[in-house]
Amino acid sequence: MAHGSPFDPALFDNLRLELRRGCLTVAVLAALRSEQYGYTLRKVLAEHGLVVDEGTLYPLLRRLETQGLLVSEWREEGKRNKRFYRLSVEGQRMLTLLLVEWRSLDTALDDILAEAQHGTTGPIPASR
Amino acid sequence: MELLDRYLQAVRFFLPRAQQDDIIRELSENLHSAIEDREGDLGRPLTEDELAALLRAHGHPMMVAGRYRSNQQLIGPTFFPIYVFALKAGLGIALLVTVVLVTIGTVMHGDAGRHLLEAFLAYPGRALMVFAWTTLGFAALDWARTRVKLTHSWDPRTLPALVAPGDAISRTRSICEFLLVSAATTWLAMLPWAPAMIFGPAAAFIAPGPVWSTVYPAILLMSFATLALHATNVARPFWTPTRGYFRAALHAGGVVVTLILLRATELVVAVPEATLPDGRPVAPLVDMLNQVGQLGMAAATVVGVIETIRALHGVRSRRARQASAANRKQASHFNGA
Repeated sequence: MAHGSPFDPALFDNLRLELRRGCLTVAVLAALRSEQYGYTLRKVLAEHGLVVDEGTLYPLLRRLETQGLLVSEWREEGKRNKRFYRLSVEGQRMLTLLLVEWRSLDTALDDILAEAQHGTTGPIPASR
Repeated sequence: MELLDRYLQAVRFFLPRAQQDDIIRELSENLHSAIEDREGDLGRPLTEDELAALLRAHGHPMMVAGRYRSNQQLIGPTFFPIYVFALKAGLGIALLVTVVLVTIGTVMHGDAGRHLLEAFLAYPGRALMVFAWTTLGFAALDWARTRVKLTHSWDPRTLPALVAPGDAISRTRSICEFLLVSAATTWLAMLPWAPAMIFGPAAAFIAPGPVWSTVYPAILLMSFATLALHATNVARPFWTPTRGYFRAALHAGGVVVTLILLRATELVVAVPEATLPDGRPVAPLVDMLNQVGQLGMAAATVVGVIETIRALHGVRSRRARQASAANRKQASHFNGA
C-alpha cells in the first residue's frame, strides 16, 4: 500500500494473522504447563486477552501433539470424557528455547523503535 | 441436540478417515462444554436459533475439517511463483505449437479456415493438458521438497556467472526460434521420403537440381546444430564466447552452402518429358525459377556474411566489456584497499 493511500483492513488482517500465528503456538505451550482440555484452554487464553477461534486452536493442539510437544489423555470430568493436554518434556524444552527467541525479538523491536524515536534511523510515517 | 449431531456428521465427512472418530469425539466434547457454559450463563437450555448461532461461529464443517489436514495446499509458497511462470510459458508454447500446426497444415493442404477452426477447438484441450501436467509436476516437486531437504544441498558457487545486460538472451525468443527450427528440421529430415513436400503439386513437372543432393547433408546437419544452440539458449539464456563462435560458425557454414548453390546453374530442373498442366513446355518456368533462385541465394549470401560478421563482432564486444569490467573491479579493489 502506497504511503497516503486509504487503510486496507484486509491487508491488516493478513499481517495480524501472520504475526499472531507464531505467538499463538508459544502462548498455547506456555498455557499448557498446567493441564487443560480444549475448551478450557480457549477460555484461559481469552481471559488473558488472546481470543482464538476453535477452528484454529483444536487442530493446533493435535499438531503440537503429533510433533511430540504435548501429551494428552482421555479422562472423565463432570460425567463426561474429555481429552486433557499438557506439555511434554520435549515441549518444555522447546518452550524454553522459544521464550528466549521471543524475548530476543521483543528486545530487538524495542531497540529499533527507540532508535527510530530518537531519529537515528530516519523518520517513520506518523501512526494513524 | 440433533443439530449438533448433524453438524458433527458434516464435519466427519471431510475428515481423514483414520482420524475421524478421534477428532469427532474431541470436538463433540468441546462443543458440549461450550453449550453447557452458555446454558449456565442463560440459566436455561439453548434455543435452536442460539445453538445454530454457536455452531455457525464455530465454522463451516468443511473449513473446520480442512484445518485438521496436515497438507492444506497442493503447491506451497516456495514453488508457487515458479509454477505460475512455468504455467504461463507452457500455455504460450501450446499456443505457438497450435499456430505452427495450423500454418503447416494450411501450407500442405490448403483450406486455412478449416485448420484455424480445428486449432481453435483443439487449443482448450491442449491447454488443459499443459495445466494438468504442470500442476502435477510441481505438486510432486513440492511433495519431494518436504521430504528431501534439497534447499540445503545447493552450492552458490554452481550458480551461472553474472550476466551483463548485453549478453542476456530473450528466453521467449529462443523458445520461438527453437519451435520454428524444429518444424523446419522435421520438414527437412522428411524430404528424402516425401519429395512432394518441396514443390507440392508442381512436383509433377519440376524437381530439385543435382546440387541439392550435395548440400542436403550439410543443411540438415546445420539445422540440428541450430536446434541445439537454441535449446542451450533456452536453458542458459546468456551468450558465452563458445556459443558466440558457434553461432558465427553456423552463419559461415550457411554462407558456404549458399555460395555452392549460387555457383550451380540448375537449382531446379524439369521432370523429363513433363509439361505444364495446360500443355505448355516446362523449360521457361524452370529458367525463371533458377533466375529467381540465384537472386535469392545471392541475397542469402550477403545476409549470411553480415550475420557472421555481427556474430564475431558480438563475441569481441562481449570480451572487451568483460575485460573493462574486470579492470574496473581491480581498480576499485585497489582504491578500497
